[in-house]
Amino acid sequence: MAAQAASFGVDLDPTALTIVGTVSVVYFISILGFGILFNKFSKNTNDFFFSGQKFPFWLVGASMIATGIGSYSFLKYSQQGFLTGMSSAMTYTNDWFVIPFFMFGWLPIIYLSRVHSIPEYFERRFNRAARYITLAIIMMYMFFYIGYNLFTIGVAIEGILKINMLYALPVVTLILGVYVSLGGQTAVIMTDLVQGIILYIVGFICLAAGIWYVGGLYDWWYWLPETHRLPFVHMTENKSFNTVGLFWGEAVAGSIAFAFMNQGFIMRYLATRSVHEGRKAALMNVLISLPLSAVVVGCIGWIGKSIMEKMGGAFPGYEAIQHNTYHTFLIVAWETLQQNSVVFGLVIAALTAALMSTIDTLINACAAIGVYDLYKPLIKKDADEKHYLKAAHWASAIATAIGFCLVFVFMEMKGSLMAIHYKGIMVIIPALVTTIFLGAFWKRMTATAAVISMTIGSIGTIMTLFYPSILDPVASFVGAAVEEEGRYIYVRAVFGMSLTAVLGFIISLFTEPRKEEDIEGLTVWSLDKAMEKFKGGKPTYDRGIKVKDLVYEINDSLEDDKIALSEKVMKDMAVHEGDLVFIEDNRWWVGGLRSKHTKALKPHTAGEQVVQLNSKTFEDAMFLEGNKLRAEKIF
Amino acid sequence: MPSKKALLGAVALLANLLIIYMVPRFLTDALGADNPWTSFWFQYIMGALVFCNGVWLVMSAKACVLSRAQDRFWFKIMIFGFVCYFVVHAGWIMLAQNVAIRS
Repeated sequence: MAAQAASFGVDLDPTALTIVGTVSVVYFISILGFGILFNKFSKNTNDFFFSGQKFPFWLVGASMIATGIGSYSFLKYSQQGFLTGMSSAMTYTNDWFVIPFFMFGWLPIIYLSRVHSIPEYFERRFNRAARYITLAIIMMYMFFYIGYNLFTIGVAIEGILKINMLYALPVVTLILGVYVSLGGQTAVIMTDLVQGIILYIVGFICLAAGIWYVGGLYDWWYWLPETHRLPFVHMTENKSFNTVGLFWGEAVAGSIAFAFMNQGFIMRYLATRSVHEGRKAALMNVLISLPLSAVVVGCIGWIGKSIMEKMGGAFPGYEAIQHNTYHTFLIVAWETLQQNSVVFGLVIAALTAALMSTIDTLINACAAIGVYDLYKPLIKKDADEKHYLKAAHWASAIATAIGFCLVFVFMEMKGSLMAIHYKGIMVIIPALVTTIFLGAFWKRMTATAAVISMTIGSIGTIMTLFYPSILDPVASFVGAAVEEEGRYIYVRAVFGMSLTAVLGFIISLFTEPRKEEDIEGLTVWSLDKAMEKFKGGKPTYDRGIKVKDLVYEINDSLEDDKIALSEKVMKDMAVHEGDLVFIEDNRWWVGGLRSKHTKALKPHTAGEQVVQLNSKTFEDAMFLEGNKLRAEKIF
Repeated sequence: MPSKKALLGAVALLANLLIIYMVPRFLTDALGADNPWTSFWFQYIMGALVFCNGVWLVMSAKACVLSRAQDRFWFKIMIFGFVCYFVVHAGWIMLAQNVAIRS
């Protein structure tokens, strides 16, 4: 594959190559510098991984854009868009169905139970064995994504520089490893915010240039074949991309995997200041960002198809695309941008941005799991924060290296980039997705059932790779095409989920569940208890307003992390003594960087707009002297 | 003797399996496998099944309590999001089939 890719792609002359390279390097250095600016906000491992649960939804939601768009997205979806049309957007627009489970179930559970990782949740919900089985599966999932991102950036490098990815990727991996270890979650969120904006700008430049190239919006639509205009593909016709398979494999298993077990996304939600803000971030992500991202990453393929229909062999990139659709994105972008090296340099920078922003999240997430689930509980229990921070940096480096090793596996795989992606994911996720689901939503699920069903579910799913005919009855039942050669992709997920669910259900009925008080707050059936534990008192549900322009007053007789507000402000906010109150810098655009969760004390009489707190709380929140504050009730 | 709750769960499970089995067959017979509306209805009927199961579950678990203002707000948003995607996808198919058709 590598050799084949190296002989195609785009032909840049030395001047164009220099300009493209310069723009990309300048971009990379700027982002690196920007990330370093936020180093000071990572004082301990909690800050390094979770940013102290302080960010507003818009910051977390916007940073998810860049995280969700990997370097693979542009290449994969452009290729798919070229091959099957606008239905390439299906995987970005079918996540809403699992939203009730996420918004009212999984998000409050993980947020309020203060878990650091999914494996940690499994130990608390089930037992230690369940934790380490989960850890193995999640690490496979994360490494898969790191490797796949690196592989696709290798494809891009081959297409542009004609350098075999085996020579280019070690350098890229080394740079990425350094980049990620420098920042931590705050730097990741902030750089991803900027990179998300860049990705959208570049995506829409490509869209506009492409539509102009083909002769306007009408011409683009006119020349697009009807099959390529539709938002859905045929029910079963295309073996690697069909509606039935995508529904079960992507809309159900894939969406649950992305929202429930992707440690990178979980950490983003945990970085929000409240469950309410987390829900807003989810809403922004699924209803706004994902559809927009579908356009940004797929539009080059849709435009490429229209151009090819209109111009046929007269299109300069015609032969190259016919021969290797891997490079559809690069070839069409280069031609529709009129071979403008500076703008194309920006496109390549965006591709780099996509890689960096996805990989930094994944590596940071792997490091979180490495430290919280392996190093701390098994190797060194009582070290200081500095030590764990150092361990986190090492864990980041190891995760990057393992991801790089997986590139060799991807290079041997055949099919479209989309097919390669789902072939792997559909084997890894089904057992864990189902066990998370049963654990969170069925309180009768037992630890023995979790351990056995996850293990046998995973082994059973892997076995279908060698004995694909096992999948025939499942495919037939859900209405998918029965494959004569056993080349199933998505049905494998249905099989894995069903096997795990049936085993989990039956074994649970014959084994003793844990006492309800031992799993309080860890299932959807005891969220009120979770809120109570999180707050340290009974939650209150009446809603007030956010109060701005508060003037702080230092009062060292108050306890740490507690504030006193005036009676009027407490009434406006609907805050009672003991309620959780989030207090932050008055300027919204600071985005919670200077903020703190506190508890309300009895009202003071020092003045209506005065908020009293002690010096330590003031310093911990990183407030600036003289600046006003604002406050909102959590619950 | 199984409890009322267990019986209800078993009936719900069977109903789900029946819908999963019947819907693709019914749609393919009624509309034809090549009709783009077949894929549309498949996604939204099966999607509604998953979605409604989710809503039912979180309501029964009292994770979503409609008497609480914030839960009510998010419940409405959930329904809005579903309808929103449904309408956009339906409009998209109509556009694809009826606007600027190449002869």
